[in-house]
Amino acid sequence: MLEKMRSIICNYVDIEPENITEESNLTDDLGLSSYDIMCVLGELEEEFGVTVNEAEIVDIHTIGEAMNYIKSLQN
Amino acid sequence: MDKTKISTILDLARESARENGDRVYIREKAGKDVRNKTFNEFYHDACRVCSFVNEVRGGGEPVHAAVIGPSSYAWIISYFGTVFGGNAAVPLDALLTTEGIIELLNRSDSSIFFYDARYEKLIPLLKQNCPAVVKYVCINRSAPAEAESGDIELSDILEKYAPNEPAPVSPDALAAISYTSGTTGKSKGVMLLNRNFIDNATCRDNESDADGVVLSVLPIHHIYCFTCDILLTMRYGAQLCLNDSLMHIAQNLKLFRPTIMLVVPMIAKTIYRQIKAAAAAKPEIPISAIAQAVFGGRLTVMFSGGAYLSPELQKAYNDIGIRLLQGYGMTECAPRIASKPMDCLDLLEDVGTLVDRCSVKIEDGEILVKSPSVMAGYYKDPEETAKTLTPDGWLRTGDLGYVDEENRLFLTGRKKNLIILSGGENVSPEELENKFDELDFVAEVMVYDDDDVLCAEIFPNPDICGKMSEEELVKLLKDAVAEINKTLPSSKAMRRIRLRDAEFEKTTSKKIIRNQSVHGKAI
Repeated sequence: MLEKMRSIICNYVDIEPENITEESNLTDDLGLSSYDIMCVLGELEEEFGVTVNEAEIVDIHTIGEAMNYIKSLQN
Repeated sequence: MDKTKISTILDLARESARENGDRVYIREKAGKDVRNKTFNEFYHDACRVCSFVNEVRGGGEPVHAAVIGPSSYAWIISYFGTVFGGNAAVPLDALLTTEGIIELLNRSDSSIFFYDARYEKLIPLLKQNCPAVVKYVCINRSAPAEAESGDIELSDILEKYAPNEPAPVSPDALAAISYTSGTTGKSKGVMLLNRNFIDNATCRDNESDADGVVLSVLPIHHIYCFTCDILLTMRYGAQLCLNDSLMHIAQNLKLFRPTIMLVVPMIAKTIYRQIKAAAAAKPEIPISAIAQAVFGGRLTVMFSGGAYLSPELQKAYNDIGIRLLQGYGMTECAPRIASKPMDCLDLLEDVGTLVDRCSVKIEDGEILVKSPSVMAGYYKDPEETAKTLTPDGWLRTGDLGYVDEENRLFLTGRKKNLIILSGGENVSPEELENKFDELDFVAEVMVYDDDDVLCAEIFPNPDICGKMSEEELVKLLKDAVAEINKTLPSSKAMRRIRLRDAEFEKTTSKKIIRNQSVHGKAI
C-alpha cells in the first residue's frame, strides 16, 4: 500500500518517492494542501474499492494514519 | 431570457422552466447511476416545497428556513421552495460544528430546518437547544427512519403537496441570510433581497448558452456557488451537474464533461499539478491533450474567485488552451463586483472590469462599492451594518485597491486581518486565538496563514512551563491544539504549531503586531 500511496502523492508534489515514509506528515513534510489530501483520498477510494467518510478524515495527518484508515475500511 | 421580466428568484425559475421545459437542468450521482431532473421538474418540485413552507408560515410573517448538506438536488429545491413563497433561506456551511449549527439556527430565527441525513443524530440535541425550530425535514433519507419521530421528510412533501403556482413575491422580499466570517470572530448574517440576487445574476451577458454544462464544485452554501453556478445556469438554460464530494472531482469531470467551471484557486492549482505529472509520465502526448482528457474534453473556461489567483497559474492554464479568469466579489454584494469577460485573453493582474450597474470609489485606499446587488445589512446587527454600509449606501469592502482608466479593478491588499486560504476559506484569527484564553500555560498566541497552512504560534507561560523539558512542552502544546481543533470545522483546524522563546513584538498599546519579523520554530 505504501508504494501505491507514494506513486499517487508524487502526482501532487515534487518529491522523491523514497522520501515518503509512513511517518511523513501530509501537510508539514509533504506540503499537500487540504484539497490535495481530498484528491489523494478520492484516488485511494478508487484504487482500494472503499468509501471514505469525509467526517473522519480530519484525524488523518500522516501517511501511516491514512494507510491504517484505508485498511480499517477494507475490513 | 428577457431580463426585464425578471425581478425575483421566483420569476427567474418560472421563466426558465417556461423556456426550457423538459430539457435536463440538474444532474447528480445516485449510487452508480446519474439522476436527471428537467427544468419543469425542478420548478414543480420547488413549488411543492413552497406549499409546505407556506403552510408552516400559516399566513403570518415570512419564515426563515435553514438548509444544510452537501450539493444535491434536494438541497436546491429546499432552498428555492423557501424563497418562492417570499420566505428566507439560511444556507449553512456543511462543515459547521454542532455548536455552530445550534448558534446559527438560533441567531437566524429559523423555524424550519432542512437537513441532509448525515446530520440525523444531531436532531435530538437541536430540538433541545433550538426552541424556535418547529419543523425538521430530512431531505434525503435513503433508509426508513429508525424510530417514529413525527418529523416530515422531503420525499413526503413532494408526494403530499401540490405544485401550486406561488403568489407574486416582492423584489424587496428577503431571500437569504448568508453567514460569513467576520474580523471580530463572530459570523455575520448577510441579508440579501430577491432583487440583489437578480441584479447580480444579470450583471453580465453572454456568459453561457443553452449548450453550456457546468460542474458545480464549490460549497453549495456559498454565495459564489448559488449565484454563479445555480442562478446563471437557470438564466441561460444550461446544465448544472453536481459534484458530490471534493474527493471525486477527477471522476466527475470525466463523467459530466463540463464546458465551464467555477473554482477557487486551490482547486485550479491541484488539477494543474495532476496534469503536469501526467504529462511528465507521457512526454509523447501534448500537455493540452492530457489537460482535455483530465477535464473531460469540452472545458474551455474556468472562473476563479474567493482568493488570490496568481498570474503564473493563469498563464499555465492559458498555455494548455483553457482560459482561467479571475473575478472579485463578496457575500455582501451577492457576490460579483468585477469579473473578466469570457473572451478575455490578457493576463494582467487585475480582477476584472466592474460588472454592470456597479460603481467603485476609493477612500483612504479602501475600495467602496455601490450597486443594486449590495445587501440590506447584517441580520439583527445594526452595529456591524453601520461599520460596513455608509449612510448613503456604499459598501466598505475592507480591501485596498484602485481602478484604472479602463475600469479594471486592481487589489493591493486586505485592510482586514481576515485570513483567506487559497481554498477560499475565510478564517478569523481572533476567533481561533480566543480558544486559547483559558489555557494558563499559553502566555501569547497568534494564528496566521503560514504558506497556506493555518499556524498557531505560541509563547508559553514561562512561570508554568519554565521547568519542563522541551519534549514535555511540545506534547502539552500539541495536545492542547488537537483538543481545540476537535471543536472546529476541518477548514479552521490549526495544522502547524510554532514555538517561540520570546514574546511577540507589540504596538505601544500592547497589541500583538500581526506582521512579525521573527517566527518561532515549527514543532
